[in-house]
Amino acid sequence: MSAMTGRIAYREHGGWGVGYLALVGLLGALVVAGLGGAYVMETEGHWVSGMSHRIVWGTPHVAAVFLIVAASGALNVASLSSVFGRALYQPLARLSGVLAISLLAGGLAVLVLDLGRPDRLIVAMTFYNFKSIFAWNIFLYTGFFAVAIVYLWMMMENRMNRFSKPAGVFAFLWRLVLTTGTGSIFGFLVARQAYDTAVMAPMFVAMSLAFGHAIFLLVVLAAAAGTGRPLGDEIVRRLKNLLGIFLAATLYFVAVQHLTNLYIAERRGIERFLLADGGVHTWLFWVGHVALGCLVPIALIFSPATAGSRRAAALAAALAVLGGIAQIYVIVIGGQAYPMVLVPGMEVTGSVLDSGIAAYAPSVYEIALGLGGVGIALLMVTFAVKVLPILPETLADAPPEKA
Amino acid sequence: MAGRTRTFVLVLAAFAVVGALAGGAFSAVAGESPRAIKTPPPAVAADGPRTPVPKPPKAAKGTECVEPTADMRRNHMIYLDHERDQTVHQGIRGRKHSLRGCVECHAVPDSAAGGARTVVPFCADCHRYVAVRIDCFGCHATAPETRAEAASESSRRIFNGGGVRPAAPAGKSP
Amino acid sequence: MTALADGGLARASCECTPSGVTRTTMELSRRELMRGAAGAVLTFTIAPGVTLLVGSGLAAAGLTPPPLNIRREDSLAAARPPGTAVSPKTRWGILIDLAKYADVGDAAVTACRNEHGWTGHGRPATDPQWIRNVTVRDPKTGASRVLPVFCQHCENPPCVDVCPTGASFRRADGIVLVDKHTCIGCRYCMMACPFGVRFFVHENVTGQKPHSPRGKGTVESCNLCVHRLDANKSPACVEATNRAKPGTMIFGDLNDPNSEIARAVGQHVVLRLRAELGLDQGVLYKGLTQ
Repeated sequence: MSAMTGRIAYREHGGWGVGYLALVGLLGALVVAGLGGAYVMETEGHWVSGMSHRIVWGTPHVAAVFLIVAASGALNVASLSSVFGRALYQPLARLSGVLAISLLAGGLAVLVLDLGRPDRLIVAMTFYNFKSIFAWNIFLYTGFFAVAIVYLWMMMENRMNRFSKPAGVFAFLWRLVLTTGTGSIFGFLVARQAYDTAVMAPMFVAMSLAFGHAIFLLVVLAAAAGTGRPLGDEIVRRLKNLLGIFLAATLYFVAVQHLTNLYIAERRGIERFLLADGGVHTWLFWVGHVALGCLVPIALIFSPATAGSRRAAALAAALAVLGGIAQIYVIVIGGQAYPMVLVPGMEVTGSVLDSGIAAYAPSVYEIALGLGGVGIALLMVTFAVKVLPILPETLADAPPEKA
Repeated sequence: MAGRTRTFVLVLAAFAVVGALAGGAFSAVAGESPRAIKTPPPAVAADGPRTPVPKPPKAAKGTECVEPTADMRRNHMIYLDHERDQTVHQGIRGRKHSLRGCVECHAVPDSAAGGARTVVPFCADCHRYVAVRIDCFGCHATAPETRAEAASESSRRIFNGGGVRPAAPAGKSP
Repeated sequence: MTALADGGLARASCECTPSGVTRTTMELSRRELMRGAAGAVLTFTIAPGVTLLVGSGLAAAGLTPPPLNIRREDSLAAARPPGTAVSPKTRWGILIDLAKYADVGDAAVTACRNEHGWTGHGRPATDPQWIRNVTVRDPKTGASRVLPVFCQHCENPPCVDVCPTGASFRRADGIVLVDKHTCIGCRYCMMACPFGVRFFVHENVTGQKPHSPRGKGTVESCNLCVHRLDANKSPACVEATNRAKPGTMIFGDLNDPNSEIARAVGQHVVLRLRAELGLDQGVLYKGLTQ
């Protein structure tokens, strides 16, 4: 490689080992299962899913929102390198960009395949209502692809390296807007007591930083192990410490959201439901999201006993991912399960649409579709490290310049 | 350098393939609306041509189409689209070209519907020939309204009296 | 408008159309002309006259005419000539008297179901309910009322704001509709609606009414019987409830200060569901607390 790349040597993953093929096979199976699930839901209609008039958005949306939000956060490391000038992260910047594109592709595929009329994707691309945050997001998502691909090109093409900083800054700002837009999909739902809050936008930004970073850390650990490249303790330590900070930020916004809602008398019902008597939602919130998804990883990351352990870092990242899925499940499903206020102060009964907690049991088709999105994202990364010089030769602790 | 450019193009191509696969799945799924025009391919006579030329069934007797046949064959979708948007968004009804109008005259006995009169055989005949799949009838009724329905429904009494088609052209009414 | 009627007339004299809708309209304009007054086209929408014409037309065709029990209140005062676009001068609304509504039972629901052909599949969570009766009970006093809930036809509809493709739209005369040709089935409108009156079609639909297309994968809701409005008739629920108990629902033009509904709204304290959202609904209730 030329001097302009800082003499970091990148190399495609060479062999067609059994492990690589097994991974491709597994991810490919997920993709096929996801397409199959979507096919069944589209041909039969959505009644075969667990979704209903009350639970309008279900498991596919949990998966899609998680992947899209994580896509933005997966670009953290590239931003740190290009925007904030941290040379330590530079060798991983390419992987960061590829992971961001892949996660977004996976998330969007799920979102689109769950539409009632996915065949009308062209309509979504040609008819716009610019007052809709959803329409804005269509631009933000497709634009993110373009921005990230250009950014990746600036980083990978020697003659273009000098533009990688402005491209990185642009991509950084773009993804902040993107996550703000995704959070606002919920934040702008003025009618629903569970949403309708501006804190959704920054909370989604914090969530994106945390989830995307956790996935990135896992991918780096897996890629280094899988391709037999050295990985220094220092970079793992830095990456996991950042994850801890992002998780704490997420927890902060979650606390602000619920404390605010607890002050609003009209919202005490939904808050009691989510935080105290919501059954699976309450469990997912406290145990899944808060404890296992945030507090335990933070402890694993910063506690002196485990701070030096790579295994603990991997566990923390995995827990953060699972906790993140739990958090989005509670936001998306839990937020819809509790009945909306129809006439303030009055009890409303008489129709399944009004009374009681909405039941929701995700069908196998929805779960398959959601996992299919994960499969698409990871398959793209797996393929990219095979054909593109994305992974550096070494991530050993020695300064990369001397590698 | 060249090698890297090539691999980059390769990976972009790979993304495109994934996208195309997903897109193909959408449209395959999408087109599979069970109400989409789908009929079994017609039997081709042993000495006949490979592709049977469409012979759409005749419209109801005593009627003439709103435009010359050649014009309708070529432009019916344009007429329908145009007035569709005006009807849906501006409430302009009772115009010359309407899907309901097509169904009224072109409904013929449909074996797929148990012999009931629907417009499907008429549409399907050409649409199969030109391999254009339409999804009008995912939502729109394929059959004209029956007389019993029309009589029982107060809504149809005035301008929307579409279901009941006088046998004689309007000009001959007393 | 007159010009359009004339155009229709010209065609009617030279060709026959396959469209029943078109033909009926043209027949009317021809008849109006036979009365010797081109200007009379303006007035042909007065219900009794129109009803008689159509009735005789059907009789001429050898068919049984439908019952002719149209009451004055079922036809709309602010009639719009056919062939013209809706105008923002009109704002359709319904004022529902809950005290009277308590006595009509399922009349509105049944009428709506028959009119639009939405049927259940025995799966309450995914079956459509364009209009539903809910019981609203004050937990402090135990007093309760039955309330029909359906699309509230807001002046500032959240469903329209959030729709990415513009499929969910507010027609100039205040009706909130879904253009199913551009609905992609994302269900964001269902997330945004405060009243839960939007429904996703969860399964294949067959046997639709020609005037009320419905299909899998799109979102639907009460359309204020737009096909009837365009024919200068009031919605089916209004007709049915008023038949069961006169005065239950007042339908009309909220923008017309002389309309019955505008005068009634001026006299009563009306309830708007979730009024704090400032949506300015077209569907208003009176008599919740009495």
